[in-house]
Amino acid sequence: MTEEDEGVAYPPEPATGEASSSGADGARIGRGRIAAAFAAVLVCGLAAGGVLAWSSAGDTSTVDQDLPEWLAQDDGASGPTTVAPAAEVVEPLGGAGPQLVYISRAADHYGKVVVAAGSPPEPIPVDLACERVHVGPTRVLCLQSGGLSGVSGGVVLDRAFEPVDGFGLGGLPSRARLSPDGRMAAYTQFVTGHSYNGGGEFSTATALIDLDTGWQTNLESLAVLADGAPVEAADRNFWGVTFTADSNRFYATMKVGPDTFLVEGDLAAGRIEVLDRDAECPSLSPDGSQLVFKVPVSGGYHLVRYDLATRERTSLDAAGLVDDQVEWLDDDTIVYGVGRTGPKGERTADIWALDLAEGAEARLVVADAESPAVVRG
Amino acid sequence: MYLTERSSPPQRPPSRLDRTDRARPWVGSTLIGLGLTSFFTDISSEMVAAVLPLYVVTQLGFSNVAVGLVDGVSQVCSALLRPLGGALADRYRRYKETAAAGYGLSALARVALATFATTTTAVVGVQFVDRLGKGIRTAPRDAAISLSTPPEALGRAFGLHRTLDTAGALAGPLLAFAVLARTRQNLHTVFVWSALFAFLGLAMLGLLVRNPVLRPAPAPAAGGTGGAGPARRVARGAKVRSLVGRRELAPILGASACLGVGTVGDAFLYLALRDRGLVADRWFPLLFAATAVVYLLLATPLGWLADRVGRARVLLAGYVALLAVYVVLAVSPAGAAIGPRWLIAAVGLVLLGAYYAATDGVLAALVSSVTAATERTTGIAVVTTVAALARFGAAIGFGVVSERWGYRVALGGFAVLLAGGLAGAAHLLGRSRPAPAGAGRDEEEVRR
Repeated sequence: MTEEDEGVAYPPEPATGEASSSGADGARIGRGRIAAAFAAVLVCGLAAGGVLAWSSAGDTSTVDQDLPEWLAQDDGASGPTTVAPAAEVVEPLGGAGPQLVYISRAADHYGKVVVAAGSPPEPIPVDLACERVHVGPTRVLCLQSGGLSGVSGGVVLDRAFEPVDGFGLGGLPSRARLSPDGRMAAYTQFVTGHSYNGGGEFSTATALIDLDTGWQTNLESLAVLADGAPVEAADRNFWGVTFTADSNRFYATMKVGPDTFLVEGDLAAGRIEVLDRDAECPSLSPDGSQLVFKVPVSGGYHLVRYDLATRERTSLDAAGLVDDQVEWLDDDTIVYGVGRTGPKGERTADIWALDLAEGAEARLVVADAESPAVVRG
Repeated sequence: MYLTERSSPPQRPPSRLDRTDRARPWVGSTLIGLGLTSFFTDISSEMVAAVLPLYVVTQLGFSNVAVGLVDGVSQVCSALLRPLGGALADRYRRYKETAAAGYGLSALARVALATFATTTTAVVGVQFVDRLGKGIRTAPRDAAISLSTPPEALGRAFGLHRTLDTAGALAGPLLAFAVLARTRQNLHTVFVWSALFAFLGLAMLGLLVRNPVLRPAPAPAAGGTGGAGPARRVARGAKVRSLVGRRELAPILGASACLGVGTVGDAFLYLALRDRGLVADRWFPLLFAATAVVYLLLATPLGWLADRVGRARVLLAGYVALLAVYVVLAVSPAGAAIGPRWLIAAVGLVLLGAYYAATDGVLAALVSSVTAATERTTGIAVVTTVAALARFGAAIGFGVVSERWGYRVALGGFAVLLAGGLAGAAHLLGRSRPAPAGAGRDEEEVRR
């Protein structure tokens, strides 16, 4: 132990051996130590800057677009290939031909919404950043993360990507869904307590909005029935809403304690009924006859196809591990995002498609993209 | 750099009336060093805390129960570990080293997060280790602050330390989101930054902080040989049990427990603010930041005030502010117009920030002023642990009551509970305080 390490005493005066009161210590920190402290700040600052520069350098890996043929049915003129401001989106949603809307996780348009349409399929970035996006024939629902301010929110846009409505979110955006006719919107957020003085609880909150009238409700406020009897448990959590074609009924996940349930809601009747167990983030097929939802397995979730008439389940093992609310391309094909970590640790994902016919393999649709939404032509 | 010439020490034993030497410096390198240590460490831990929900939700898969429960468990473990850290530091007079062990543990947790912790279980485990480190380091750090500060300036010194500490807590989330925005949401970069800041904190501790070496007062304890013998020789193991029964500490301990059981955590108060319709959802994440700004602005002035008018008074006044928050939230009209709504929310947040500024550092100063130097760490640890456990119980109680009967009832009930706790605490602290001035109650008096 060096002399210096012996430290300084408070009270620092040796003198009489009394506990004398005097000034604070501090006279004897050597210049060397102060210089070393500055050096430490400098070195750490440089290291932090270096790490930041390395991980934010644009990854030039080309966007691996492998858009499916179904997008190329329409042979109208293809649009411009540059980044278009919102108003200049070539084809407004719901025009002739199908469109795939997604969020890019590629370096050049990170977090921006992309509309792919036309023949050959042309991905066109829109000047709109979202964490989660969904589309109806007349509207776009975009959930945005607050970033620096921590203030998240949702935006509703018309088919030309002009904002028409907005609302605030207190938590992390999770799921967004519009009804097939674009009238009803549902969004799920994760709400966490702040860890400052304890807390740190985690829960989901799901709200429905009627975009025509402005009426809205939190799912937790609706009555829930299981086999005709009311469910009294107060700790109900809902997420992953999917609407029927009439915009009145919906399917969703409800969690009570450790159990998850598949529920069916009826807005006109103002109640929710429990249909089955173990199903998360259902997505209703266009013809309304079946659902695809995820069920937890070790290491993640598997997708399961569910026939609403027979309640028969078919495991979609070909999809592998998927943690997403899937989207239906048509009555036989689903698309979904699969998250992964990029080469430098950045957050990214790929969009895959799976034909529900037996023996089909999943195929990569768009690399570095997530939150697929389909506008059928 | 401090090269101030000090005035010669008073030759008579100092009393609490001794205020002759007003020009004494109260900010020393140990205080600055510990302040910077806390500043960087808080940046480190709040960076992670800010992005952890995002990490769990987007990359690990969501499991709500586990995260909430384990957080509670680690809070309790952290609180229980505090007296152990305190006893170790007191026994061997190794405040710096004990604190370094705690800061080091947390730094290792950050490295683990940046390198291999990629499952929910691992992340939860890493956070647990971080909390343990926090439990070990808090009391020896506060003891080191108190032992290197003149007794009459303890409030100011703790106030300054809490200001730096809170500034770090405020900067952390901002830095984290700035990094995310620049790196395509690269959480790994945030974790690496967090580890770097943790090491910077440790470096500040190692380089700028020196172990306070107590020269024995004309003590009843035998060990004192005058002069600067190795600290170890004069160390007397602090026995937690004997300390708790000590005439000077017992009232503070009792007061902490009284006040703690009526204390609702800020997370619940923010939820109540939202539930009462006083803040829109979108501003919810900013409530913590607003409170922290008030806290950091007021911590040093209120610490200074505590030195002047008495620490117990300022402490009690802080809890009166908290009581006022409950009342404001409970009686606020549900359908207020937007203007009054903002005003009520702002008043609530300012009072909440003032509560933190008037209580956290001031309590440490109060305990320091009545605890013998040889038992200071243990004293601080025992009092803060009792307060933390009481608050933990209160949080569970508030959660249950608000879930069942709503926030208004819960706030009303806790207002009554806290008012009772305040009366009890005022009684206890009033008895322990011989003079209105809390200042100057140094070792001499304690040991006589």
